[in-house]
Amino acid sequence: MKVWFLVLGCFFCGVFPAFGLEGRALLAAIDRQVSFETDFSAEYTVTQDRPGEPKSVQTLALFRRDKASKFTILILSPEIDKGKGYLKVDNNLWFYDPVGRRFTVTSAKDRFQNSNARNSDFTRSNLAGDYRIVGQSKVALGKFQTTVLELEATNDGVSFPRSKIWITDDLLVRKTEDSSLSGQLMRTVAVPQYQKVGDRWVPVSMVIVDNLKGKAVNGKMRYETTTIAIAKPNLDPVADLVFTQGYLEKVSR
Amino acid sequence: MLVLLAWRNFLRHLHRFQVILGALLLGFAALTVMIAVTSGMAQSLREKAARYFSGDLLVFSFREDRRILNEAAVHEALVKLPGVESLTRRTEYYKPDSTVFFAGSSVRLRKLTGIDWAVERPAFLTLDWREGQPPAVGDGQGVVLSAAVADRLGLRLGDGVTLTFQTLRRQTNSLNLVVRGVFYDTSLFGYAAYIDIEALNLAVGHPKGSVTAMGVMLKTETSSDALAPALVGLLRESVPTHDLITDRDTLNRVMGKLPKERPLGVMTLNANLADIQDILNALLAVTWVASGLFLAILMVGVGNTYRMILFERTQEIGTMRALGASRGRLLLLLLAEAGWLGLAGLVLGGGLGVFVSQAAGLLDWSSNGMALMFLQNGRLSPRFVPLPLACAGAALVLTTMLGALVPAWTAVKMRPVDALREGE
Repeated sequence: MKVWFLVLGCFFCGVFPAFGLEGRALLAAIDRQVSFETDFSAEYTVTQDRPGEPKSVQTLALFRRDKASKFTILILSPEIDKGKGYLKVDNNLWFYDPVGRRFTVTSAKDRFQNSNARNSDFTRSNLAGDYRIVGQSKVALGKFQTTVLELEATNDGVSFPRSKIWITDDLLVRKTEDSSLSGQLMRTVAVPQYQKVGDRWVPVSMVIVDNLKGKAVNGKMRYETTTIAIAKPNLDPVADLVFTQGYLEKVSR
Repeated sequence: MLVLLAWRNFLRHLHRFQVILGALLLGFAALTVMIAVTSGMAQSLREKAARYFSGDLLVFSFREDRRILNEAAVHEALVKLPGVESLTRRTEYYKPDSTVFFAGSSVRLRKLTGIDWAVERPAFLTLDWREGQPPAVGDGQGVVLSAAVADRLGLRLGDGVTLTFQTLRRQTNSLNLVVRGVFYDTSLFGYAAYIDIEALNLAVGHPKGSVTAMGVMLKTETSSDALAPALVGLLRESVPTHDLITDRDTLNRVMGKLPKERPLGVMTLNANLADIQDILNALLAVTWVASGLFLAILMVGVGNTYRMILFERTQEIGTMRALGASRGRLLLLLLAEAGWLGLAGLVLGGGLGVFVSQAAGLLDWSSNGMALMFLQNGRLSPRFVPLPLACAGAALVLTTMLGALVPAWTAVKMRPVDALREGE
């Protein structure tokens, strides 16, 4: 009897080996696949598709220094948003608006530029620090054979308290379903393809579907989507100055 | 004797007073309508505000999670107050991020409140319902929404909506709810949603049975400002309570400090209504300025008409003077006549005013969005408050007498012989 309790306990604690790794270690391994020891920079194109409205496109430069929990985002286009930026240092996140020449404190949970992406989507993955595994199963996802991990937040700083991630054997997240505390599906993120940068991976594109916002078009419900395409990934060192408020102020002039 | 004599003269010369009596009648009818309608509008506004702000008198907590821990003591203090019409028991969601989603569209709510339907349902039944009604007691899935929200989302009764918000620990959470009712409300108090208190407690992370706002709706004649110090006193008998919060700035200042030694606060509706108070004051100011102007015009009109009437009665006045009536007594007689004239205008005009006010209350104004905050069930609800009406009545009689004063004094000043000669 005790053995059965032990087996069940182990199962629910997520210590059953998957990919040869235990629960937290597994999440850490997933994080490691998309995090960088060195600096990382890339050009992101964020396309917002609201049904019945013209698509809006923003391009931005992103600079990440994962080991120091920093990132800087500089919006390059359209002209009206040019010069706006974000700076994250540790747990502090500021938004800079060149019109008012003012920094305002924002949250990683907030929507990025009124899109379906969250500010937290641009920072390094920290599944091991933010979530614990509460369930797992094997599921086919299109052409991929995936393991679905059901995650529950371990802290209140995350954008969504519940998540389900579909991971392939290479420990890359192919799909995410983010839910509210009560289990309501809030958004779905698909990562159809990755590109290798050094020995790590970066999505070629991410499609974020808002499961609550949309519009019926020709009698069929179409949800808002945000597509983030990542180009020109680079692991060259980024100057320290880039991760300062002064940099955003300077480049926006 | 003088008053009776004046009454007899008033009746005898009624044909001469007809025009001015008509003017007084119409004037006081207009005054009555104006006072009754603006009083009703102000009362409607206050009732809506009281419902929105959880009562005419509100008890709340300065704890970080806003829970009132001494509910029994607060309840005991509230029910001891005189003039209580009903109680409120709520959990209020204070953050500005609650959003209703329906069929892909969303509206951010200005106010999300958990209501103890067992306590407040009867009071909610008197809301201006466009469709449906408050959820039944224990209906954790029901939501009632203001028409502003329903219109923007195209919601109808029975539709399922998703409500998103944050828990006390700032986690994203949601509830799937069914629309049980849509009530008319104004932009001022619009974009509100009411759900079951326990559903909200559970969803935001409050323990079962929690409450963050307790209050009382008072009967219309009861002043919350007068009762508030008494409530603070009653609460202090059992719970350390902060000094009465008199305005929102003070509230924000004290709330920022979260005083643990005095965890309860008391606030009146007036303190909550600093912005709306301006609207109410403007309404009253317009009424009284218009009334004052009207009375001034009336006084001039009465003066002119009375001059003509007294000119026609010069011989009569001369005769009375010749028979020994003193100037003072004669002046009082003429003023008493004017008083009777004013009183007749008051009675007849008041009757007409009540009739017109009630008739105005039958008209449906609900299509006028701006007017909704002043309406009850889409209609004006005239209120005949005794004091302002009595003041207006007294002012009317006084104005009539004042208007008559100068011509009457001119008439009684004449020597009897001149008056008799002029009368020929």
